[in-house]
Amino acid sequence: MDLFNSEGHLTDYAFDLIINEKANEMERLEISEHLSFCDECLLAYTERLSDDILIDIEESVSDSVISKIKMRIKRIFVNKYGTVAVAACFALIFWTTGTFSYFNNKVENFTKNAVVENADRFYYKNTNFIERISDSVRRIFVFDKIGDEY
Amino acid sequence: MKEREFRSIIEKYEKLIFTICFQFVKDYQEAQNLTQETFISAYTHIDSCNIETIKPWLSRIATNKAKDYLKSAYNRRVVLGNDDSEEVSAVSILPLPETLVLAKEGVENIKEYILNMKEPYYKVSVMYFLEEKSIDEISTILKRPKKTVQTQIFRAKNILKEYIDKEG
Repeated sequence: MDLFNSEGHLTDYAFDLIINEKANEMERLEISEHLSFCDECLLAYTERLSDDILIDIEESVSDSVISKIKMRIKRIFVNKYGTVAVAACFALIFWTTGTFSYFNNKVENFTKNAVVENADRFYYKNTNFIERISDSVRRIFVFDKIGDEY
Repeated sequence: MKEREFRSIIEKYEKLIFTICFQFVKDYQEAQNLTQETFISAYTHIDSCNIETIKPWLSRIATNKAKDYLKSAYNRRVVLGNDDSEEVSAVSILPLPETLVLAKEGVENIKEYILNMKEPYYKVSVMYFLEEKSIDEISTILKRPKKTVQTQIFRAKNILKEYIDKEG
């Protein structure tokens, strides 16, 4: 007897083996592999699992599943928002202790000092550049005048 | 989805899911673990499921969980007994049977043997060994996942190897 028909789908024999728990390990592996992608056979299999075949569980899994899901959600929540919360706490601490204003003053003073220190140098460079340009322009015109004389 | 709604889904289908898991793994404790894992996975991906098709959807997750369990158990055994794993070999399939075929000049016998193979190995073997199609092509033509095709080729090779060894 074959587990699969010529079209590659599970036979009645395969379903009977699984449902009556007579399939060996390799057969169970092959059948489960096929059911993992074949909608047609999965439907045929679940249709055969009537209420009288279903096995009773000693204890419902609902409580343990729900608690595991809650644990997982909690873990995700902590991972996701924990970092944000810690960052917010640090921001609050810096704000209340005046750390931000200290750094602000530092930056402000630094900027002011930098402008004052560099103002002279900038002025010197700038005037020097303008003078050089005007000198060149003057030379050109003077040269033209000299040329005219000849 | 609210807790109450999901709890009612668990209570409605837990017997079905447990039965599926038990029929495949044949171990009460393991079936119970797989049942729990099935519902946890279902909760994670509940948005992708239509509530009207929840029964086959949950059954699919359960058979996948059972398949993964059986596969890892089978691989563990193969590794312990043979120092060779299906997973490893499925990734890089060695051309061992082909080489043996050429060496023993039994091409026609092997061809005959492949043509008489049973499903789920027949079509895969014909396409891979005789028609020299790639795993991707076979996967597309047979509408089987690539990994399943790789596993089936690996097992078909083992069947062929056993046949060649027996034939001498």
